[in-house]
Amino acid sequence: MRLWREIRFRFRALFCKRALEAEMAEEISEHLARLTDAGLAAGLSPKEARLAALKQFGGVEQIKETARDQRGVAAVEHIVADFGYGLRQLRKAPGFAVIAILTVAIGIGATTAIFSVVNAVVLRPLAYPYPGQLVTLAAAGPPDFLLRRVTPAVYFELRRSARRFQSFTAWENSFANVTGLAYAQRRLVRSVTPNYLAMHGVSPLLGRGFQPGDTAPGAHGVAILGYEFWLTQFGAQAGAVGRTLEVNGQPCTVIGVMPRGFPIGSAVDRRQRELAERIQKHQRFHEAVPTPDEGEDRKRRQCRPGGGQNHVPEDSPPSAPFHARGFLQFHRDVAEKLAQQEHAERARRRRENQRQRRVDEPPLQDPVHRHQHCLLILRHKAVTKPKRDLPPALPAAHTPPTRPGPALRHNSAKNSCGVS
Amino acid sequence: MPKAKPDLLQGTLDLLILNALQRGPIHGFGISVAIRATSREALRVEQGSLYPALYRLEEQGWIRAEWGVSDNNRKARFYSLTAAGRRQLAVEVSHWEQLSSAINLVLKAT
Repeated sequence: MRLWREIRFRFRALFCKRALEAEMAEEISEHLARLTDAGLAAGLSPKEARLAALKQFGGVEQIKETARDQRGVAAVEHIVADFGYGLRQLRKAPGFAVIAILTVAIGIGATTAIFSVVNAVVLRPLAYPYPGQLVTLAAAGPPDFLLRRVTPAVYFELRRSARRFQSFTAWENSFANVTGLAYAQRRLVRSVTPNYLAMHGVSPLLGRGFQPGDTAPGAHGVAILGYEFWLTQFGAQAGAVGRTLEVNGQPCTVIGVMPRGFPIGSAVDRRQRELAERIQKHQRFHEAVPTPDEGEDRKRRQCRPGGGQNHVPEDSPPSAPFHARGFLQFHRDVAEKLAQQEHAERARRRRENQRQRRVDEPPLQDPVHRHQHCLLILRHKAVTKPKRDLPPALPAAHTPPTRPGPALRHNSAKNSCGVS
Repeated sequence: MPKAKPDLLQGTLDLLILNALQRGPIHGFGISVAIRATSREALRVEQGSLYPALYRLEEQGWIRAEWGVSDNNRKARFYSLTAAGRRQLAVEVSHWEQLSSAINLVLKAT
């Protein structure tokens, strides 16, 4: 009741201001008239009586102002007045107004953009268990993103010697022509080592994850679909598992589907035999994760290198290197020649070093590779997947836009892959 | 929910106005005349504080204002006590009695 009355009162004070003002003016003039009457009754002339009344009453406008403050909406009225004053000032100086508005607009835009990035990269946790234990290793080098890949040799050396990490997995993104569906598509494909999902602590929504057997020589290529790909290309049907796709012309069996929101979306596993052929070539990203129970004393162990237990993942024997292709896609002319030379050189060295069970990677001769022996530890980032589809009319046999060069031809050999 | 009184003067002004209205609807001029008359010219209510006080009391819901015609046939705003105003008057009176008797005690003790 009281609240309702107060609301009504304030509402009136805000929106029926003119009526209130008129009432107040009328009331005060009535009061003055009575004072004047009293003066007249005391024998003053009308003019004198009026003056005496005004004198006795005091400053009319001050009283009105004090009375206005009693309405309880003075703050709102002042804000409205200030706002109106601001608008008038802006209209008076349009140049200043435009600059001020642009400044504020750009400031807000930039802040929003920066926050979006920070939110996605730093604030929002990764969709994996124990995300704080994931790190990304990359080679230090020129600020060229591609050059920050880690060589296979570094990968195996790390896996052999690093004692602070429970497991390592390597991955690579590339685009591949995916056929065997309604139309040919160009899709982001991530090639990974078989322990990729196990290391992230994520299991597929449907089907199974990669198994060490998938990389056995002669094994059929396998792929795990990203959730969105499954949704759009297979209508979210469970029958997708077991279907065969062609990835860059090579058959690949779908063995599973990743759950919704898995940020990488695609996971590709390559065959060991093929990987072994390509050790020489290129570089890698690596991720490493310590075990949850190891996380506690991880910091302590970091103080003494060689301190913890070394868990070598059982995904592939140390002799199985990884194949990288992203580098060649961007420096194909140079890289093809290099790759051919390296291939011959490596084949020779491998024969010589056959008794050694580890992969020997001598320093490479080209300047690009010289930078790749240091490691950076980076936070693992969720990768947003670009979606690029070819026009539907493109025949499946059409030559892919990035046709592999001679050194790459075995790239498109049988492999396992995930499609997103 | 009476608000804390900022000072004694304002508190007594409210008390005086509410008290003056006790006898029935009366306009602003009448209130100042009544207070002056009943206090035998000892208390003069300045118009500068009378009207703000009237608006404040009206906002508090203790008094109600209505337009009417005064004895000399002029339009005037008549104020009257509401039920809440009567309760408030009782509270103010008892406050005043406590205060004045306390002050009297102090003055007599010295």
